[in-house]
Amino acid sequence: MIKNIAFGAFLLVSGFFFAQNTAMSGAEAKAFVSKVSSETKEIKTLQSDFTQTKKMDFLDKSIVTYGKMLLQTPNMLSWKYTKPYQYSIVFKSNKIFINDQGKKSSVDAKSKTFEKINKLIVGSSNGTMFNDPEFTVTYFKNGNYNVAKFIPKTSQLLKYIKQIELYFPKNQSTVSQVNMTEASGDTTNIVFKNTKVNASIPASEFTL
Amino acid sequence: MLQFLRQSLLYSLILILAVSCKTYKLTEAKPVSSSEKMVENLYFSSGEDYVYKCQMDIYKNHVSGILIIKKLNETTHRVALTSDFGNKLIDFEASENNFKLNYVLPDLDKKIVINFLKNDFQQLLKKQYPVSESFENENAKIYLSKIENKSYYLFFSKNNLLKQIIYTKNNKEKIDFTFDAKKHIFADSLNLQHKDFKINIKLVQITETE
Repeated sequence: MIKNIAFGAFLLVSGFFFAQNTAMSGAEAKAFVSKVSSETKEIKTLQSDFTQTKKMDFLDKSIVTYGKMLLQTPNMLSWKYTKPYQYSIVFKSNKIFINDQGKKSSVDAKSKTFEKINKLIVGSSNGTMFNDPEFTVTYFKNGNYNVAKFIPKTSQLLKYIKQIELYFPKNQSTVSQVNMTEASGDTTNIVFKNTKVNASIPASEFTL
Repeated sequence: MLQFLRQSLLYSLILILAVSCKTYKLTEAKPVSSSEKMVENLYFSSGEDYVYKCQMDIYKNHVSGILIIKKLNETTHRVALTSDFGNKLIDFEASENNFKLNYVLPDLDKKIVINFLKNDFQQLLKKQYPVSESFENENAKIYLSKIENKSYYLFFSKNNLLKQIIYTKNNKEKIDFTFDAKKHIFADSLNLQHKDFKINIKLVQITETE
């Protein structure tokens, strides 16, 4: 009896979650991708404040960091943490510049991890990520958002990441939220706010 | 020939280690009698999350990220390091005699890296030190704790905050831990420096920011 109630409750709860995020039909997904892809082609610059929240199962509290993201097509990206500590990383023409609380360094962008981060962030701003051969992409929608869910195809990449969800507010072609789930189940959630498209960015922002 | 090369490499390594590792001696401290039988490093003794911005320099490699230390029970701590972007680099559980690796990023999965971290954190998280001898200098009360061939010099400020631990093995200085704290259960920052290898770990708290 208890088992049945538990099962019923489980169905109800999972039904509730499914009701929130419904899969897009093939036609809907196609329309969504082509709309985002064509609109993001018009993006020359992008800037946004972000809040990053890291959750781990053994922690009482989440770890929250704040910063600013700046992007200029085709290949300049600045990712700047401002609170609770200062850390900046700039991707510029295949080089990576880092300022870690005053300690400056630079490396060639050959590191696999950095390359993927760069590709993902740039890709999510220009729409090319939907065609990334390393991921299987599925599409969902709910009242406020269109959601693209990325699952790595190779076991090698799955060791790093289980899935990535990109949230696009309805009628907006830039991402407002990224949810990443690691192989261990830990999550990192990044929410973008005050997003500005095609406002000019001084070149100094990409110099550390 | 190869044998010879290997041997000479080994000898030069031993020589480098022997030279670079000085015998550690307390200077300008006078022995005192003390009633303390046991001194403690309480900086990781609370059950709260300890969260630090972490900068590691391992030879020429610089690793930046967030380090989390959490006491699981009286003997064991969980330690996790994530990159600044949040993805986990390494996650393990350590107690004085045990070590369990929960996760390591494939790029970091090297025995030498894991062994260093294991050893460093087992030393850092060690709480109790039986006192063998006591000393004093102008600024600090110093307790020497001898455990087999290992010796620990613990420096406490006059207001009883642990300022430094010098870990020696066979009288050679191995690791220098320096703490900066206002409370005895919480270090605002700490610096861990190897004396025989170019490895340095710097932690600055970001726990109490909100």
